[in-house]
Amino acid sequence: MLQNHKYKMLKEMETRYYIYSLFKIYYQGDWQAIDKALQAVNDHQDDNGQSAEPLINGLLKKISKINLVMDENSIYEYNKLFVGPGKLLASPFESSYRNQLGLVMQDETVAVRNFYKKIGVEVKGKNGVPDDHLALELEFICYLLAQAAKQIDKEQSASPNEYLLLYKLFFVQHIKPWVYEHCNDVLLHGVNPFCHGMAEIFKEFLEGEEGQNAM
Amino acid sequence: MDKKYAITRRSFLRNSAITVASIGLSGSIYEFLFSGLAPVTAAKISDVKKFLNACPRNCYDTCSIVSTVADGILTKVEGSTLSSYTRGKLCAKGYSYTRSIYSPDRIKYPMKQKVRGSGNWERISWDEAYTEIAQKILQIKKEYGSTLPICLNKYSGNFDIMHYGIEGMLTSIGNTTRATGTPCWPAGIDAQTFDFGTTYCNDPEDIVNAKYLIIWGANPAWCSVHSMYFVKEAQKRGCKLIVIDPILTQTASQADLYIQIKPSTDGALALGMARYILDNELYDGEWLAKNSKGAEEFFSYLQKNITVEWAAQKTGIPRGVIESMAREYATTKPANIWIGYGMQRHTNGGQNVRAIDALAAITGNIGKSGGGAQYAQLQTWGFAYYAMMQKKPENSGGKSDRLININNFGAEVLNANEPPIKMMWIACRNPISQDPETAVVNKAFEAMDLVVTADMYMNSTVEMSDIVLPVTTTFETPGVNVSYWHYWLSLNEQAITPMYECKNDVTIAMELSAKLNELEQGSCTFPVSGDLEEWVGKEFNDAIYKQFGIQDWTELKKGPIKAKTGLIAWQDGKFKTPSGKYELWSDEAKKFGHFPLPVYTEELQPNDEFPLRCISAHWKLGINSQFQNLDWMAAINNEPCLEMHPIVANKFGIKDKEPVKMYNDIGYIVLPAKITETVSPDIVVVYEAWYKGKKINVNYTVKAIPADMGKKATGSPGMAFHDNFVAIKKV
Amino acid sequence: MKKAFVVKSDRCVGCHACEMACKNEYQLEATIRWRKVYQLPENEFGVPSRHFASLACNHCENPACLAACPAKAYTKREDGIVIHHTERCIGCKMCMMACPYKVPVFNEKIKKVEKCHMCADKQDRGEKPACVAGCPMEALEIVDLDDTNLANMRSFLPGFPDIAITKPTTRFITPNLGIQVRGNNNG
Repeated sequence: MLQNHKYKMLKEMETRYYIYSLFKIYYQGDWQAIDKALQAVNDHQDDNGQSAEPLINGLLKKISKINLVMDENSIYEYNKLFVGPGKLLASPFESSYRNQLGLVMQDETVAVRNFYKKIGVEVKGKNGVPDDHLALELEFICYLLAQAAKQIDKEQSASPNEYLLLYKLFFVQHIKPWVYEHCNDVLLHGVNPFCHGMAEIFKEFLEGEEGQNAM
Repeated sequence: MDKKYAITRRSFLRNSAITVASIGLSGSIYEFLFSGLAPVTAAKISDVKKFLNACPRNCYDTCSIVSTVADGILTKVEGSTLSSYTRGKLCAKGYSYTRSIYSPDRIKYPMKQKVRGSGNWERISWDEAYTEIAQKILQIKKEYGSTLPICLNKYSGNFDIMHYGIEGMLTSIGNTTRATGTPCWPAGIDAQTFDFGTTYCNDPEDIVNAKYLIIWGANPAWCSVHSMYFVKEAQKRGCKLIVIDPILTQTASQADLYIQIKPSTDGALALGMARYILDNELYDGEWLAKNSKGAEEFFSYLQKNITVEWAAQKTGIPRGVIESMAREYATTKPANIWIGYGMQRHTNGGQNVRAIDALAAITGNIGKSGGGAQYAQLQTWGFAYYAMMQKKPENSGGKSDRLININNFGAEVLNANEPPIKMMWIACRNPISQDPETAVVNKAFEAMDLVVTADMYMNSTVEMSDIVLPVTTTFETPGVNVSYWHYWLSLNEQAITPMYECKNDVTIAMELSAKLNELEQGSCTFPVSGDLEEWVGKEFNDAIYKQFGIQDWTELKKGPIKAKTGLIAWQDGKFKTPSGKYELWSDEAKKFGHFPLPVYTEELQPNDEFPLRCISAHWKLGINSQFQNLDWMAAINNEPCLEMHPIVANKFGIKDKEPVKMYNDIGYIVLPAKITETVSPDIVVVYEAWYKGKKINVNYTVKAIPADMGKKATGSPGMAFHDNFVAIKKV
Repeated sequence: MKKAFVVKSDRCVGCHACEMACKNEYQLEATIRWRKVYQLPENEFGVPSRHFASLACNHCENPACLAACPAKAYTKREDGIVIHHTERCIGCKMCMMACPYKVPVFNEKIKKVEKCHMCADKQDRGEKPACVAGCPMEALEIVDLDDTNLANMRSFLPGFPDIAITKPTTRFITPNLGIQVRGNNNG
């Protein structure tokens, strides 16, 4: 019974992990990898059939459709939104949304850096990229979920999972306060169906995570 | 679900060489792999450090900065108290530095625009950028037999000494076209070169010793605020401050006597004063006999051609004022004149500076503490220029560099032929924003095969480029800086890691050289590797060490250092002219087509169609196209305006803050009016700056009219920016 | 003790370095300015001129903000500095309405008010406030009104609201006007 429960939990977590991973790669900006990641999510769904979560199922379906609308203009718009060289229409940096100046490398960045440090990770090439870039924050979440899965696997009883608690804390402290606004900026400024669609899916996914985990 | 959906149908996805480790999703939740993060290595103590930096902008003050860096993040900048010129204070622009380094809008990666001007950019790797650029360079060389079709436009965005490595980079690929000259100050430099042999001013900290100071066509309150402190100090010690300017500026508001002069007639005022000084025997005959050449001829010219009446009529200044000013200037010792760059941006700018220099000469105010005719100095710039001095590769084609006039850039690029110009490299410059005749400059860009711009931010020049390369800010790279005004030498330390993929222009040169040599061995002589701090060290030579009294450049890590000698210009009386004397009569000037004496040449006048002169002076919250685009500055003032006198406003039925169209035969701008009595009724004033997101640029109306001088010392004549005649009408 | 800003409009050239030094010190948001440089009315002193006053909080003797605050978020120190306590602030904006000089500004992000605190913590460490230290013209100074010769200082400048209400401590030195000679074409 416990085995079954554990198995179910891990299966759900894995799907969510895939979705987080997809967005991590999306925000990292390597288009070959984004393409592969989309494919991987689809493959994963094919292999595992329906998820117990209707919400997740809905998202997976949307992800498979979004596959089809990626085009050259997606790259141009992606750069206008998140990269440059002009003024970013939807900055992917937490501190630029949260501090009063709209700058990076401010107190919020340091807070994220300290969070990473407590868990024993840091940004490669420190200070070269702000610690609070969304891609890095999503990578961190993937790391936490991976560690959580390891722990669940080992555990005999369904004890409170330290890494899941940290995930919730990180979400509440560093995702919830700004990523919705960021997604709204994409929806406001983005016209390309791919970028637009990804923002919609991401927002829905995060709202789902928030609801599911009572965050 | 079609599992076999192929990647190949996404043909627009290139095999990206971007080195983001894309392995994060290689498998399931059990196979997490780090990409952007990594396990913490050693337990590092997060500490707070201080670094020395220097502001490399084109500014008299070139401040020595102290940066505070906490755990690798720049948290604060302050002026260094170790420099008696910076005195621990920065200006509004300096204090905003953290804003520009950490803006999310900084250009972070090399990017490419397939269609120039489309706004559709894709990211490329540095290797891809170098490959494309190198291939183009080699293709041009093959097609035209030389690298002359490649043109460099670089100027004052960054005056760090090592940045002359950009010129060095172009030299190292062969003979190229160079935008030569300078928009700012060449007429005055030539004038001082004819008179003295070179431009050389006293240490500005010496201003406190003046007892009579004329600030002539300069606005230090906005453009050299640290000097303003010394001006105030001089006033405290009994100095009388005269400010001559068509605009009643912030500096003029501090004056004991403000004189509103008709623009471009400054030479007439100086000559009128000289005539009075001559008539009343207030000149220093002894000094002239010992130190000058041509005094007799000059006095003869004054007697035959100049009267104070005439000067009064020309300048609009009452005769009595000219005479009393002449008397005071000649009899108060020591008396000092600060000649502004704005003042010489006219067709007769050079001659006007010569006339003012002559005043200093005939009253014996040269070579003295508290005296002089201050313009600029290049005394502290005697570096080795190691990064700049490269050799041209063998067999690179062409005989020598081709020089075109930086002040007529657009037209000269289009006119270039045999061979034509096909590629541009733009660095430390924003020609589409700053050059006159914007439409022509745009046309020149359109005619290019490849435009590469190295910059920190999106601006109008980047918009029209094919490839943009992200460069480091002052805080992310080592360097060394001096000023063309004060006598301090400041080391610039690397305070923080370069962000994203930004590189120093010298690093770009090294890596481009490696790529060129990879494709064609021997095509570029620029060193392919090197430590940037070592490069800085190589800029120093014995002359600098002697001048600053140091044994080694590393001593600068303790703080900025002031020159030990040469702080009072021409104190030894050894002028650098052909005769070795101050030349009122200059044969050199004659060689360059000027009258050998500082005579008056007529100023340009407006006409009936365009009756107003537009002066586009410098702005307090920015330097040329830098700073005003930052949010902090925009919060203070984000609206350009057209300053005009109430008489002018009434004539055209214009009310304060109403939109006005200012136009002439080449272009127009629309902006709100600001009615003020602080500008004279024959001019309108727009401050030149680049406002983010606003399509206003006063240069749309500015023609590339050359100033009279500049060719001798800088290779091209200057720009008569302030001889812009316009009309206005209510919108 | 009555700490006060002295604004030397005879030295101020309107360069805005003081505003930026404050922003640099506290890393304020773009639209929030604790200190502002104002241009004085052009014809105030008889002839047209460009003169300025740099104003932050006037650390009044009878602070209207303190009186109006329902949450006791303002205190006045022994040395006269008026401090706003963020942790007690409820964002009601009563102080903003009460202050005749429009000093407190509303911070949209944290939904609370904030204002200049004369760099009280810096002063306690023996340092000068950021604006005072950062002004290249040395046009700002801190004095103790109880212990200074106020002979050449005025309590108001043109455009300043009636000082009797809150008794601001800021003092001004008025600009010096020179002689102006204008061309014949300007009457």
